[in-house]
Amino acid sequence: MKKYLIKYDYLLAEVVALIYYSLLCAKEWSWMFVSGDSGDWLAASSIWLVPQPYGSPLYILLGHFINLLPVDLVLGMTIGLSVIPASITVAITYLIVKKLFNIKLAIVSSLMLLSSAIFLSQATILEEYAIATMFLTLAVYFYVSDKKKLTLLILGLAGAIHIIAIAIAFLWLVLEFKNIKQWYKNFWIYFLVGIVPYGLILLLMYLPTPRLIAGDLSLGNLNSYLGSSGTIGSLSIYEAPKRILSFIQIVSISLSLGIVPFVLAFKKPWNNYTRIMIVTVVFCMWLYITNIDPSTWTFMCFAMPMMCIMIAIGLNKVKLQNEHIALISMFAIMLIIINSFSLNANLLTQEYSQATKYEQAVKELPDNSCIVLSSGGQYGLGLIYIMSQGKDVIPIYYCGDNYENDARYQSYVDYMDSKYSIRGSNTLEQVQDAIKQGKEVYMLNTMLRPEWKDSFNLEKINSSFFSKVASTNQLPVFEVQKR
Amino acid sequence: MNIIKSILTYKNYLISYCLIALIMGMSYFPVKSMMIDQTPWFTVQASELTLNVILLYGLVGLMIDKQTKKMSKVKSWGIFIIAFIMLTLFFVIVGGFNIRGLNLH
Repeated sequence: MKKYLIKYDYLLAEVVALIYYSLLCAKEWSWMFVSGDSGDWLAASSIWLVPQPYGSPLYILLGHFINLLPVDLVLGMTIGLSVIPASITVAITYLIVKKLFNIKLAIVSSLMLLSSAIFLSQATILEEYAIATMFLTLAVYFYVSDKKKLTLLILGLAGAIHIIAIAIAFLWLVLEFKNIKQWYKNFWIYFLVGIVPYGLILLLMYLPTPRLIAGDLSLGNLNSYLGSSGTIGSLSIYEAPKRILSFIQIVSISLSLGIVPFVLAFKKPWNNYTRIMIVTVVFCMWLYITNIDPSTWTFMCFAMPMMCIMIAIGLNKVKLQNEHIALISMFAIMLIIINSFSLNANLLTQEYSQATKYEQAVKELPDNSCIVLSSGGQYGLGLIYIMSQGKDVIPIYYCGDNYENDARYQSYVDYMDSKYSIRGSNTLEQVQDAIKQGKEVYMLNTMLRPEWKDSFNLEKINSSFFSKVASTNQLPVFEVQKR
Repeated sequence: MNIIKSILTYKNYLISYCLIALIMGMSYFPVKSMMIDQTPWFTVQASELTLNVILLYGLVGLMIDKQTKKMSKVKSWGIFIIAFIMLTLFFVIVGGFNIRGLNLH
């Protein structure tokens, strides 16, 4: 009995994590913990359409699979693609550290991961980070076990979930340059599993899917689609001190006292797996520190299990290991308890239920009415999800200041004409045409851009989200945006 | 008691642990507010000079400095200049967004 317990102890780690994350996860549609993209993932899992850049083909395929099951799609995707993968990640972290060191350090590492605020946040909401992290951690396990084919296979699956995993795979390849021939021999596995799935996005562009997030398959549209999220590495130097402070804060509550052994893990000599982990961790930190989007702390989720493994590496280097372990574990358990109240996605979603309130507000609008809003962000993406559930509304997107040269917007204009018979080369013309056709037009208050304010005469209605467009004036004069 | 006694022998670690616990305590609720923030997606300022430019130039400079210590001055400066030009080209061509404030994009 004891033999089996020791052999399958990682299952215990998984069950504990599964119960913890299941209790804490959001049970309804939520935008909690920067999961504003959830509307997009739900829409792309309900109907066939091109999701936001850069596609996440495997994630939406899994979403479609869950949609076939007789379960609620929101709960099914949260549990199936976040909670279960996150609990598996805890078990894999345990297994890796047990394989490298001993059970004691394995328990500390899995406790640290369980107490991590960044990882917890992404494990309990509908997002793609938990499952991509699971594959990345599993790839580390196979790398440590020297199973190259399986490493490539799993690394490929991570890449097909989130494009950042492809960049991470490239960095691993650079570190493994000495063994490039061995990796190259099996590279086809990675290509087949990690790169080919992105063909689905091209196929969806080619097929007559709704032209809401991406246009037809053309070079112009691809350029517009791929170039629409260039936020990495462009944080202003003036914003840097504030970002570094946020970075210190978020890392301090995610690693807590584990920071001490984590730093010790950087002490040389490094072996192959330490190098792989260091490069992944540093890359994810760089992604957040230099990104102009302040919500990209979620990218550090990819590195969280590796940071926890590095804590074990650091602890393995200290004297009085037991005392360090006792102190760090005690803090981790304390954080696990505090987080279960304070960062409880289920309770927070009920308290700040913006997503479901928005859904209700859209459903209360008359059928066949138009909504003016941005195409991206939680409201725009959420609207596509609500439409995919059968609500009959028409989205009129802000055209932006360079709409005449934006192939994606031109594709959308054609789609509006063919699908809804609303004509107009920009937002204002489309709104005017909709009003002329007798449709009711509403504008999302929170996303009303300053330059558009003078273009619409708005009427207040009994909704905290929308105002009614009574009439229109002129197209705003766009100024070159200072960035 | 033994645990506390043992840890006390490692004063540096204890100071580090206390400091981190303090930062953690002070950071918990600000980070919580940041994490549960549901305002629409927004960006902060990207200007002429980005943090990334500083980081990458600094990193490449340090790496070259380490590698060229045993070389002659002319050779090491040559490598520096080539790396500088290549990195600048990288920012202009590949990562044009990094210096869009200079209207090169």
